[in-house]
Amino acid sequence: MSCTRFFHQSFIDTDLVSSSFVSSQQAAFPVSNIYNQQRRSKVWRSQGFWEVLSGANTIVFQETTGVDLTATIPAGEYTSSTSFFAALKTAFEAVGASTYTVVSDTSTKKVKVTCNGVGGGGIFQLRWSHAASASIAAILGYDTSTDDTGALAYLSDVLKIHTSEWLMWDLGLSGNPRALALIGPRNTPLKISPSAIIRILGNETNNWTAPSYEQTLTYNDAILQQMKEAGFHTESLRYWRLQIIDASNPLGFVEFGSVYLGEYYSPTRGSPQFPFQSEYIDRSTTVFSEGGQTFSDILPKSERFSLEWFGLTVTEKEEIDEIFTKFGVSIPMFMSFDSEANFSSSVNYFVRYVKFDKEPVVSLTSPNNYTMRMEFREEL
Amino acid sequence: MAWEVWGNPYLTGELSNTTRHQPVIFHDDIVLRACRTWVVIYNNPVFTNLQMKIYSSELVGGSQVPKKLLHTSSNSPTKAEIITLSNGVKEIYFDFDFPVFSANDTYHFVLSGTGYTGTTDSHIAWQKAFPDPVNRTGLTLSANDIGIAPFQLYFIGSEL
Repeated sequence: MSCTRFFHQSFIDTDLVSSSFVSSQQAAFPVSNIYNQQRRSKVWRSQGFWEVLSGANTIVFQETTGVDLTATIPAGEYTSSTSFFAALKTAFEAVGASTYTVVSDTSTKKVKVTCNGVGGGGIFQLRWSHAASASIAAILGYDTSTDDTGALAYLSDVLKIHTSEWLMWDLGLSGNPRALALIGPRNTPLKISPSAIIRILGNETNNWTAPSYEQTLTYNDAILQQMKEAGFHTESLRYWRLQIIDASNPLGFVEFGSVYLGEYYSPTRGSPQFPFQSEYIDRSTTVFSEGGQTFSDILPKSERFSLEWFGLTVTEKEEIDEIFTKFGVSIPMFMSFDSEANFSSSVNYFVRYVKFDKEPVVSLTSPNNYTMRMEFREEL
Repeated sequence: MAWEVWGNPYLTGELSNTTRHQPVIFHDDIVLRACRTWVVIYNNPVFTNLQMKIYSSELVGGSQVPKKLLHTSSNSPTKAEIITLSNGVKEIYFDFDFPVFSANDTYHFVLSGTGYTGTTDSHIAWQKAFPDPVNRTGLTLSANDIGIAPFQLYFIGSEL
């Protein structure tokens, strides 16, 4: 079987998927960007998704020495940091007499709680060591070993930007994908931390307490992918969810440019022949001054790949015909050029977001034996 | 000649678990509107109502078994609606809110009930489709095969 794979049938194509949902999105970077095939550089950015569970939603604090007050944040899902912080403020002010401000600190992105010190005894203490504060302390990033005392504003000890983020798809009918790919703009690393936990989950129902399928993706700074010949799970599942837990991302958000979840096609008999040719593309222009100095207009880089297929059967040739008919030279798609990592450091390296650079050339060498030449250009 | 039917009896507790289930594989993607089935009422068992539940499937020890509850029938006929006398065979139907099912996946239909007390002398039994199941693809039945005959179940729906 060829190790070159066409990611040709996305289950989460907006024309196909029954419903799709997102945990949070910034107005300028909506999730629709991630489904827009044409521009991987148009991205989705999270806005802060906070999930507060019932029974783990209280903060104990003091405005008067020795008098504990308990702020209760309504349990639920908050789809922006702004709405979550507003709920915290309301919870503080519901039981306290001072005025409170909860914000994300502009330089550190850490959570900052400020009290104006007007109410009660004029002090402000956050009692993180109290058992009732433990869950919210973990969510906000405060150290539970000591209370915060002696000031009117406290910055969290650890950066927390969300409890998790997710993309969720209801396929309508159950399906068993064989490929997943996630990218951002080319020439820049993915805007997720190496410590991020990224999982693909699948389930029969829209309940994620104990999903039937769960797989953690291996971190890579350029592309996240997973391919399985037999399908991700043993059964087809209707609901799929990509979960991203990257609470200490210093950017304050997570970002992706394009996502794929679906099938791939890989011819069984036909395969590209060596040499596998690739060509770097750098559209930067450099001009020389009279004195010989160079001045460069730096533009993004890309890559071009040439494949020479031999031994394609009629069925395989016609399948590739269909793929070209679907994508043409105008619509990009994911491809894996080395799905077994035979000639690259990892499978991820040669999973690329490409367009046909020109129309493939087909020749019939002998009956049921086609040769095909095609070129791909990596998209920006 | 008498009309003979066979069924699998439910003892107390068995109408609230998935011990008895009918695996179904649809040949096309379908949307389901309702299903019809038959229950045997032996003597006068106590129960409140019946429902049909549909579960996903999991391969355990070489057998497909129910895994997660996907859908529950939107109607739940009460005992008074099903039968008011002792002993009988009743056709009942269960409505569904148009769930969709993929071709070639296995789903399990499970008869469920509440407030049920069943004994060997007084119980509900789910009728077997023996000797003439509505769909006998891959199934050859002889007189000794009541045990492997499917439960009597008809579907009302549409191909997608």
